[in-house]
Amino acid sequence: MLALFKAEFLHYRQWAIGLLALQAMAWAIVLKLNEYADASAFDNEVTQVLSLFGGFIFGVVQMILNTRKNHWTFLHQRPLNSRDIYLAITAASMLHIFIAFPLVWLVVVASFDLLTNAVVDMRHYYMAPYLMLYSIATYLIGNLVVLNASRAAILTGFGLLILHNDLPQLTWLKFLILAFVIIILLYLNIKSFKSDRFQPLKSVAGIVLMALPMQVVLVFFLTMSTALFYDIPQTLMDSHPEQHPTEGSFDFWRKVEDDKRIEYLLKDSNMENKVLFSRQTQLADKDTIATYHKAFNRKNQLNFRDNQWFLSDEDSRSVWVYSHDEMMLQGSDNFTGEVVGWLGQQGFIDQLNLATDADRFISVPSMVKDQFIVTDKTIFQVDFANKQLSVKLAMTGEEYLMGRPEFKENFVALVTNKQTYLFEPKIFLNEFELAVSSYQLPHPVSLASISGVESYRMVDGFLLIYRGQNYYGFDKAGAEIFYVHINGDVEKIYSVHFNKHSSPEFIQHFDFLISPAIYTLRELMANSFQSSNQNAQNNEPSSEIALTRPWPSSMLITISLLQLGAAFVVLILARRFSLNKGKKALWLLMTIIIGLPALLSFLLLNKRA
Amino acid sequence: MSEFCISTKNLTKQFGKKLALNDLTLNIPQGGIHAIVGSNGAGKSTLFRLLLGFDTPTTGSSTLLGDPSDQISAKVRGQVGYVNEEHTLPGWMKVAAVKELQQSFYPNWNHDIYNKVIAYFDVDPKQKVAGLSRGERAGFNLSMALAQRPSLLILDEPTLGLDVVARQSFLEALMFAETEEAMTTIYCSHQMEEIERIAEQLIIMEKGRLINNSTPEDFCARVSCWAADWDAIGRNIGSKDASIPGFLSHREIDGQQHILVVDQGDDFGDFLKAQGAQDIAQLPVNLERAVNAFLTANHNKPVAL
Repeated sequence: MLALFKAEFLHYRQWAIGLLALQAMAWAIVLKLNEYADASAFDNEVTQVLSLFGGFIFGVVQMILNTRKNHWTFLHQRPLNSRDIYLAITAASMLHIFIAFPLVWLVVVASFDLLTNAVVDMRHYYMAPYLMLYSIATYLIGNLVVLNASRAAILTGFGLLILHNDLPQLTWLKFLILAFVIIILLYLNIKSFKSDRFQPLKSVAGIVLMALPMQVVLVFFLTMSTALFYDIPQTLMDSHPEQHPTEGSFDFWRKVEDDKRIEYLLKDSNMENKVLFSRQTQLADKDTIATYHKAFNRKNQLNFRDNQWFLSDEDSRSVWVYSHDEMMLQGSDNFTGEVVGWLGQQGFIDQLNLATDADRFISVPSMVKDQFIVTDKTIFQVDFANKQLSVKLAMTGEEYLMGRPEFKENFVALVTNKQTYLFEPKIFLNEFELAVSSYQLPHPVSLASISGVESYRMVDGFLLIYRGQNYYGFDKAGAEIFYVHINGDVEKIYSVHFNKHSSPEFIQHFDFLISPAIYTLRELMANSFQSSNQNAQNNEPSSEIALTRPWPSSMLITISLLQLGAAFVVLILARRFSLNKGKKALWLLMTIIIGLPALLSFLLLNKRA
Repeated sequence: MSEFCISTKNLTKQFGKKLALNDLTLNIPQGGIHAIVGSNGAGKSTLFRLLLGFDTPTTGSSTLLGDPSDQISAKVRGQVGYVNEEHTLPGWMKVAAVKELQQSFYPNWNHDIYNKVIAYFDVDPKQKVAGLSRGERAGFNLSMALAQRPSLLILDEPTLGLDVVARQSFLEALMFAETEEAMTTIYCSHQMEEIERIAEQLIIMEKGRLINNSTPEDFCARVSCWAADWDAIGRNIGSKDASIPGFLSHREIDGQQHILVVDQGDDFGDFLKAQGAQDIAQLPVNLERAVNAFLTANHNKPVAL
């Protein structure tokens, strides 16, 4: 085994070293061209894409070369079992991958850490094992695509990768699931690396592990199929709901021009001043307020997820980068790179050793407009000229911010889990003191039901439209108009229910129709992996909502018929594929639970006897 | 250990509509050199792939040194040497490194045999395998296969594409090793002079079926050649009412018909006489002619326009 490992390593070692040298040169050029760079600013996307495709292409090419007819015979016809041969080859490839991808990252980060004052956290080092695992996973997918009897193995690989990419920012969870993905792929590859590799996997574990991950991809393709049988024909006939939404539907109203939206909503009302509102809004300044945002950065998250992680001050030519290790911002001179101080939640500190626990932020903030430091509970404002830090806004109790403040021409908007605040922009930006909101609007319905808020600046306040496809509950679109008076009073003007739908029900919920199990599972997984705060920020429904949606009975009947039909097809075809009773029962069970995607995977993974 | 080193039972392999092996039942006992001959597409290579577990039969089963072909243990793999027609070896490695690699898998590696067999060929250990000539690669491959001291050595057309000198060296090396080690050799080749020289048992396959499994001498004894003056021969070939029993082929030489038949006794002369042939004489048949006649008898021929 060791001899085989050595031979395989020698085979590709020059390629790995060449790739290492090329990347090292590229990094040297990039760093030379940038006067200042911190570790988070490294081009992570390029590194990730390189690892993704590099690992995959290596896995495919290596196995294509090994599986050529006589080479395959040469590889197998020796007194070693197939598993040991495969493990020897894979172990050598892991060493190639280490040289080609994570090593260069490790060298660059370590150089930064040792030779510069740039912020380098432990999480920047974590990126090396992450790249290693990521490349190994894609390498194993490349292997699987070539080794497995079914070409549909690529769907299994993609499914596993999607599972990993869907994950939140929790670093340990990312590592854990990536390790889990690698174990599954290793198992499948060892089983596929048999002398007659054209035979499908026969073990129950092999069938399940091949079939289940590909369900997510098959659901995607099936969902995309609506383009073929619905979207394209409808578009060609100029009758697509996107082009011609049904009058009275939510989509129709969304297509109405901005300045006529209020008029459309009020058309059936008996309000005395509806004409006045309509006219005023035609002339008013319009804006939108987002009710969901990108989640806040998490402590020790992998650096490619970083978002708004530094402040810069032009006057002092300094950059203040957030350090996860210190939970403070480190200030550096823009040109010399020298450390000029630290910034914690109690203000500026000259030296790190003077910092106390009270100085350190509790959660990782986002930086806004080079002067605000925003956590989910507090907004701080930095006065670089006077070296002062003031609290702009602090949430109390169970209230927390859904995201960063939105700066508009007429207001600064802040959405919390309970209400929306509007501030006077000049005061908010320029005065270094606690901000007092001009308007405060509790959310009329749950935040998850609101897809957005539209605002119209009136002479004596704001007119706000809260809207959503599920505003009044599942599939019950609606909008509500509120008048926010200059004195702070909030008055509900009108409510509209959109009872008509533009698209047919089965198109609107096609992903649920083809597999309720996968649909629900994905929503539950999103809930399990993320905190409720993050779910709300990502506009994900809670587990409770996901499980208790009142699906129309026509949908449920159609789904039952589809799943039973799919199971019937499996039953008929199982004979042609000469499956034994156990396998037949397994496929039937998967089809009854999962539906159409399971039928597709049954067809893709079995060969006619 | 099984009585047979190779055993197949009703082995059938179908590729689409093509039947590569057709209900093949074959038992090859331990010891000796067994030659397998057959025209292209007879199913020889398919048989080896099925035996070694690199393919799965459509129906039927086979064993290799007692192990079912689809579950060959590492131990049995170590007892089987296999040399394919391409002599595929890792071209990027040096000869010495390949030898070292192979040697590491076989605890009973025989350096003496390796050195003696490789001496038949001019192979530089420092050279890359990709730089070896076909003959050198064949010799190197054979040297390694023999040094493994296999119980069973399968050679699938190992001299294909070799020149006369390389072929000569290959056969000499093989025969030398055969005398040194007790092993069973399955030798597949189109070269009849090689078969004639080394084979102790002759297996003939045609269109996926076994049509002979005997010693070469016994096979030759089955085929007889008759010379006669016979104008009506054309009428007798393939005609339902007057067909020639055991007919394989005929050729006209100097106005005389030379007819090759199988499994016919001395009374075949009487049959010819009864059909109007004159000056009848039985001639000796060598192995090559007998095999060629056997193989070409049922070979597809273009339809006459």
